[in-house]
Amino acid sequence: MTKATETLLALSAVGAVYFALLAKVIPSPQLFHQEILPYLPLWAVVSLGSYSLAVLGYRVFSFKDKPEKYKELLVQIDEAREFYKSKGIDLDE
Amino acid sequence: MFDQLVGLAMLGVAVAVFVYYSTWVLVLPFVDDSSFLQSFFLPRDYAIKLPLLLLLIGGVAVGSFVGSVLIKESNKKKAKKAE
Repeated sequence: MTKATETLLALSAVGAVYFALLAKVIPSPQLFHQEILPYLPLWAVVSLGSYSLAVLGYRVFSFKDKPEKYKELLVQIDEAREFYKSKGIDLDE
Repeated sequence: MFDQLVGLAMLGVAVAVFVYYSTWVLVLPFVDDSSFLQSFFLPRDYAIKLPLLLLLIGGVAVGSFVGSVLIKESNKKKAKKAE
């Protein structure tokens, strides 16, 4: 099973349970059905958004600058440019 | 240093939004109407209107950004062809 079908399957399973609850096929308490159920999809969207923001923030927070790596990369780029020039390909338009 | 501050702020905002919205949607219906907790939250229908509005604004912002980039790109190509 690919990741896509797995995700689709999980989503449709959750969706099936949600709509069953919404259509009262699966009984649920009155207060839950009226006050919480309609808000759940947006709650999921908001949760997804704040989770994404949290992951981004954490990655930015724990990101380490590596100046030596930057210089190494510049040297490698120059090397690659020389290599392609020697083969007759000009990369800078 | 500044990057770390920005990251920490993003993390804090995300956690705050999640906790606030979760209590608003999942906990508040079970709290008594006269409780002091209710005074910290807007009326309940805003729990749907506000995120939808933000979603709409975000979508328009992303769409107009993509559109402007595409227009600039096609203008550049046209200018190159004309040369």
